[in-house]
Amino acid sequence: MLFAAIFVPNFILQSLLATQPDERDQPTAVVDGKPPLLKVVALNKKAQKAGVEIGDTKIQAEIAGVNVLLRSPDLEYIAHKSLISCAYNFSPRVQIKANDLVVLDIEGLRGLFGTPDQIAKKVHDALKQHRLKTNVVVAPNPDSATIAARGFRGVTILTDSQQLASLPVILLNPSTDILETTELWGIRTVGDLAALDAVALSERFGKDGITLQQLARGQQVTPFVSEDAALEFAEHAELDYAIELLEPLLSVISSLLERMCAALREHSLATNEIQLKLTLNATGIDDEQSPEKETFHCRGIKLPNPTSDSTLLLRLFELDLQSHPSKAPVIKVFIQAEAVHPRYVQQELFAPETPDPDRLELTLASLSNLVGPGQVGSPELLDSHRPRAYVMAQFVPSRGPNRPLSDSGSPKVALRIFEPPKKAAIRVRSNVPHEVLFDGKRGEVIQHSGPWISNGEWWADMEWRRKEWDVQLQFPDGAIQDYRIFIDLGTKQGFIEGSYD
Amino acid sequence: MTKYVELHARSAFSFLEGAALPEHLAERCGDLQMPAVALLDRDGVYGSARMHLAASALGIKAHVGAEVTLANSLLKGIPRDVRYPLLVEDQRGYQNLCRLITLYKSREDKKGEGFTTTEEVREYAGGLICLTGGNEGPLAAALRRGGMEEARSEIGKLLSIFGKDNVYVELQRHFDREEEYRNRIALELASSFNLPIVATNGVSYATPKQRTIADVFTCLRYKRKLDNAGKLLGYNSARFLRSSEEMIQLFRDLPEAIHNTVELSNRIQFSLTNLGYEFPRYPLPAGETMPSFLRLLTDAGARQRYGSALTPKVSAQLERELSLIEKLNLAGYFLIVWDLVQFCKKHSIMVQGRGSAANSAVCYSLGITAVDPIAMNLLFERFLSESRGEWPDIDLDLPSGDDRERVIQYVYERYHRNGAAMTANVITYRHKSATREMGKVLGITQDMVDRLSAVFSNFEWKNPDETLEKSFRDAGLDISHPLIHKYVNLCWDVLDLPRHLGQHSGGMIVAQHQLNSVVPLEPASMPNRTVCQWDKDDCAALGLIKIDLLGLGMLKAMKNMLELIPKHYGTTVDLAHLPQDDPLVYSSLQKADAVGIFQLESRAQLSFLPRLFPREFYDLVISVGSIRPGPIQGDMVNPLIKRRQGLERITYPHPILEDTLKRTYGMILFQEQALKVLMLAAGFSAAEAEQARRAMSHKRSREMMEPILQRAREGMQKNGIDCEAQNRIVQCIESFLGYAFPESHACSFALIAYASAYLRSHYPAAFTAGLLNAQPMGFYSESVLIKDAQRHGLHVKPIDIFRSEWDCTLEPYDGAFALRIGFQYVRSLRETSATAIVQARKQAPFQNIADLTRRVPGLRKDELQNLAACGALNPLDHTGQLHRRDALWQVAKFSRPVGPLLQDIPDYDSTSVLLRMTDIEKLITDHHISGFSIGRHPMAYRRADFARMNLCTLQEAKRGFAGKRIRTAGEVTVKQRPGTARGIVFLTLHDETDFCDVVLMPDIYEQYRMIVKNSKFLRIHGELQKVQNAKEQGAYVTSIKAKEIFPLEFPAIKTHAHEFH
Repeated sequence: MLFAAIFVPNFILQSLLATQPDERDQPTAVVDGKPPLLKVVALNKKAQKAGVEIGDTKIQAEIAGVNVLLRSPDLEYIAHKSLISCAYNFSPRVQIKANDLVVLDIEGLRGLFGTPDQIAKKVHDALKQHRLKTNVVVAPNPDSATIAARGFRGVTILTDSQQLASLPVILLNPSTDILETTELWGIRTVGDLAALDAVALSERFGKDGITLQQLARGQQVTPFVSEDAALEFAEHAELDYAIELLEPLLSVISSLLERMCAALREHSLATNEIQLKLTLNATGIDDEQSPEKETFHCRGIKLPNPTSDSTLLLRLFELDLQSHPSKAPVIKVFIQAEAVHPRYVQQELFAPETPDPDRLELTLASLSNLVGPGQVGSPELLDSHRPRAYVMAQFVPSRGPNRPLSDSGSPKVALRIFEPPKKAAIRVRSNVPHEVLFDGKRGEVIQHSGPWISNGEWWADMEWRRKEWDVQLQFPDGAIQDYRIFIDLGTKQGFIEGSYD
Repeated sequence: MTKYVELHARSAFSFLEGAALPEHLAERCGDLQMPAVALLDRDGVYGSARMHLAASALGIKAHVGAEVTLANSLLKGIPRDVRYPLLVEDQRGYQNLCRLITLYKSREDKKGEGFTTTEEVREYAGGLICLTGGNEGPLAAALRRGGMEEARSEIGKLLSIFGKDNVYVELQRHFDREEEYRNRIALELASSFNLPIVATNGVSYATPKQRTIADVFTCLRYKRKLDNAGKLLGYNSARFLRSSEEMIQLFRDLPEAIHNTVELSNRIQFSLTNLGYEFPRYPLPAGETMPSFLRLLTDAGARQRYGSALTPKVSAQLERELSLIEKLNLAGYFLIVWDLVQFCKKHSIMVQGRGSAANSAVCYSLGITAVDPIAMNLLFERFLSESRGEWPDIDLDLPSGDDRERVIQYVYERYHRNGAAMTANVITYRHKSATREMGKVLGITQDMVDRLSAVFSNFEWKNPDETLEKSFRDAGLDISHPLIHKYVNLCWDVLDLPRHLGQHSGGMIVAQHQLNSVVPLEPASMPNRTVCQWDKDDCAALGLIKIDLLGLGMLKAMKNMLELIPKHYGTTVDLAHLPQDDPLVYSSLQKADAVGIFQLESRAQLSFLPRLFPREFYDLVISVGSIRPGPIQGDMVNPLIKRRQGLERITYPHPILEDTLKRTYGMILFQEQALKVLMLAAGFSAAEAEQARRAMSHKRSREMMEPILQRAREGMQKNGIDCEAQNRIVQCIESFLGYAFPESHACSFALIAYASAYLRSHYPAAFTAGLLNAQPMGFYSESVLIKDAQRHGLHVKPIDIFRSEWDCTLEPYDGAFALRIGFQYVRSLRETSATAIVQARKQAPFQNIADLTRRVPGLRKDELQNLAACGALNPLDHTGQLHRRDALWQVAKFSRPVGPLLQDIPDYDSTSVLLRMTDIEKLITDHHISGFSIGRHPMAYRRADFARMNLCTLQEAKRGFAGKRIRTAGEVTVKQRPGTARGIVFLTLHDETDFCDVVLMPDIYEQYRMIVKNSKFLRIHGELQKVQNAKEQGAYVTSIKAKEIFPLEFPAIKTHAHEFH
């Protein structure tokens, strides 16, 4: 058997530089984290020479005169996909070991691609086309290939396990405990470990020791498990001309969705999460800020119930794109679905029938399109003193019996909240509101309680301060109504929070 | 007229809850013209002493009380305290409160927590007034539990516990709907039970701005971040100290609630001025009074010290002191300290009084101190004077560790568990702790916080621009970002606020009756110790007498040396009768050969000694007293040296001062001299001089010293002292704003210094072993101590499974003694394991590693591995062939149990295939396992490389002439930026040949800061500096003034440089 391992060293940096070849020769560091705590997670040698280290802050890297890039999971995903797709171009049997490492079975490919050496070079060159520098190793088993790919640069053909001897023990991925002991023993290379007596080693490290030594001796320890390539449900289309309007774009998306849903159905699968990635024509973008981010327009749909209905999915994307249109013409469309098993629900005999999940999704999406994103769902209160602190969670119909509105017989005052609160002019005399104007009406305060003052989140951008009262207003027509009013102390703007029933 | 008194305030001594210091609350009360304030901290009176002192100074009454926690209840999974806010009405109430808190605190294993029960509160309720409280109060808790009915029953319970006159329905208004709802019920209950209402603001901070700190503390208390603390945080910023006007406005509908605050305040009679503290009375033999018994003991002791016939001078001094002691009613105190000293002597525990006690002939006669104050002409008034109005200060130095613990436990035994306690040590936020904890609550990542902590230097001297902001920038943080800006501000805001309570290193207080009636006591984190809720300054300010039982590493080391000497050398050394003019001692000190010598080993001392060239004991007193911030900043030291060397004429600011300053060449070195100068030149009385001394040591000394110095000038003017002399005297006195020793204290330390120098010169093996067994202590790491001893010819033997004991020991070697390193220097080896090894080998020697593991089965894998790695197991092979890696190979096998079936099968692979460790590998391993290597100095291994790099050894460097360009390198053993050196940094470099000081001027330090901070080995290019002693040929001080600094690449050796202030 013959296996090839492909390893992309410094994967985080390479995946970024693959799209920015001009930056390759610059001292470059990649930062990750939440601003202002961005830290260097990858860097090239030139940046290292400039004194930057992993863990430095963005500012430190900038002070060192290094080109600083923001880590991009999207580009890492693309690089990872390039790696996989390149592997599949050579062999149908591919095992994905990590984002930066894949192993492929190349036995029997001589007729197609040449000698193992030629195959390795072709793989290496193919990825070069994607601007990824790789280490490619051909070995008799996947473990040796993996170890060697992390240790040797460029293309290597492993014919003898002795070739592994010079590599450091850490490449065998031993436990910290074992690594500390081997350090003390002066066993620093794979060759040193391989030379130890196997029985003696097992007496000291047990099964783990034996496994390590087998790896060191070039033996296979873990089985090769080929990924099922067909289980990747993704479709893409490169357009001959840039599409600006939604309608033609939807027709492209529709055909992609149909193909994808058909594939899902073929495997008796469905999807509950689907990603749409539109590549934009960069020249058509007005927004000059963060250009590298704006060259893509990504949208995603999550469903509570899996489906393989392309019409439903198309309608959902249509509604989503109507409320989130792309900022520039589209030149490429990519769709990828997370495949899951369809859910079959046994309806309960006495439980109320729940709405059809697909129709419900569609209804919710239509509502969201109508009233705006984040405005549809089930409100969930947050643990905060901030008034109106709630989020809209996805609406999921309850399967249980309806809860009674009140658990006690005593009457309760209900506050009917206005969302958003109504702007109002609140006239205050001696710290007491005496008149409130809103919706073209003028109400005189005939009773009040308060003020109730709250403030918080002083450490965040969302700091808030407000003063509120409960008031009874009498309107010129004689009508009397109770309200909760407040003044935002940051903007000095008055509002009606809601009315008491 | 008084309108409102705040009766429910928490300070930052409600740890991680209140956000203002008691002093700030008192100041704010002063600003608001509030006549009184009640501090009710959580489960203690921690802040009451400071509040009392600060408030008294402002003419404000400080009422005492506490919030007493009842059994915790859980609310939504978060512990919700129910606390009774209790105000102390009279002394009985105060005593009850202290006892109650002590009772429930003592139940808890975990320090700082605990809760009481209603039964206990009932027992101790006398003299206490209960408020119904705010959010955490009993009324709110009852309402939460069961609404109105439960609230009614709770009020009934409070009435049955405290009595009808002692329950006040508390109303707080923080603009919160829920609270107002509670207020309405409270009013209803007050009316139905006919109880008085009282308004408070449930204060948690002095000003609204401090609410942020309260929020941050809440997060720390509940281990949350600000982002997920939710409703645990404050609802608003209303819990600050409000003015009468604001409170009246807030409660305009309930004027009675405001009026009652004043009424209740007037009702409270208790303040901390009448604590009821009494020092224990010493148990006397029949027919004796305390003064008579003290006289008896003093007389007997004096005859031992001075000979049976006392000279008139001695008799007169003793009489003067005894009369004053009797007059001040202090005989009991001296007897109690004497009793402690007797205990030490009886149990062979070394003890020596330090500080101003050494000025007293009575203390000397009683054996409390070891310096003869009459012979040394020391000023008694510095120790005790009629006008001082405070207890004298007797500090006892004891060997640190077990011996000191025995003395502490003796005090507990003698005065009862509730009669004695350690004084507290309030741990406050410093730069590092503030950045760490504020970072945590703001969600700053751990590695970023670590990086930031690492930027803060421990140096005493800091550049004026070395601010928190700069440190944040140095750590690579963008302080213009709002989050980081808030981070910096929070760090500033919490600085100096209390974090938690620790225990003082040695201060103990005792009382005649139960001490737990004077101040609450709580268990310390150390077993069998209790700690009181006040620190030593609070205790002193409130008139509680304190005995300092201080642990001195050198005494522990000396005790160890004195045990080793008779065991191995066959002689006994009596420290009380050492030859006073030992030439070996003085010759080594003259050459600054003083590593390990108490008080004289520091870098500053080593550069001072050759210039001073000590020849007699008093020179050591001068040496100890000179290297202090006071004399250095007062520019006393260099003129002293010049005068001693004859380079400058000895003059006095005024002839009247000649007697006082003669011994120090006309310069003021000691506190007593400063006092005498004020008395003689400026006409100060002893009391005024003492007042000046206290002003000197006060935190706000500069402010307080201004009028004193002005008065001194006027006095000197009156005495006809000219302007120039006045200026010089004032400059001298001002310099003492920093810090100087009392002469007596310097004498006491010089005695220990002399003794340690004597032992070092005559018993080097015992001396080094003693020091190593008492680590950590002193100025140098173990590595430096060993290398210094080796340079002096001491043979050091490695850790050996057959010979080592837990401590380092001595072995005969080549007609003298060698030092055997003990098992305590094997990383992670437990003392119990070492003892088991020693016990097992006493039965029979170990045959091999298998035998060792079988007979000492408790040895852990890491212990065995470390023993093998440092070579301790090599002797197990009698052929001498076993090397460290053979041993490591074998222990790896034996540390995996094989089970009973296979355990008797002979070992077939006892020899390994592993290669021997190289010298460098051994060096690295030794440093990793023991922290030092007894082999060559790391620098020696690369000497050939260094020669190629044109780097000379330190010894060669020091041989050069002054001004010579030097290129050298070494290991950094000490880094220092003294407060007295205006930003200059001193490094001590060490190589296989010598030590050498390197001087970094501030600009050079700033340029190479990160290299100096991060590198353990340095290459220095600079210029040689030599200061010659004008009088003594060959006595000079050498240092290198650095111009360029480079890191030196070295193998991964774990070395340790001490960073000193």
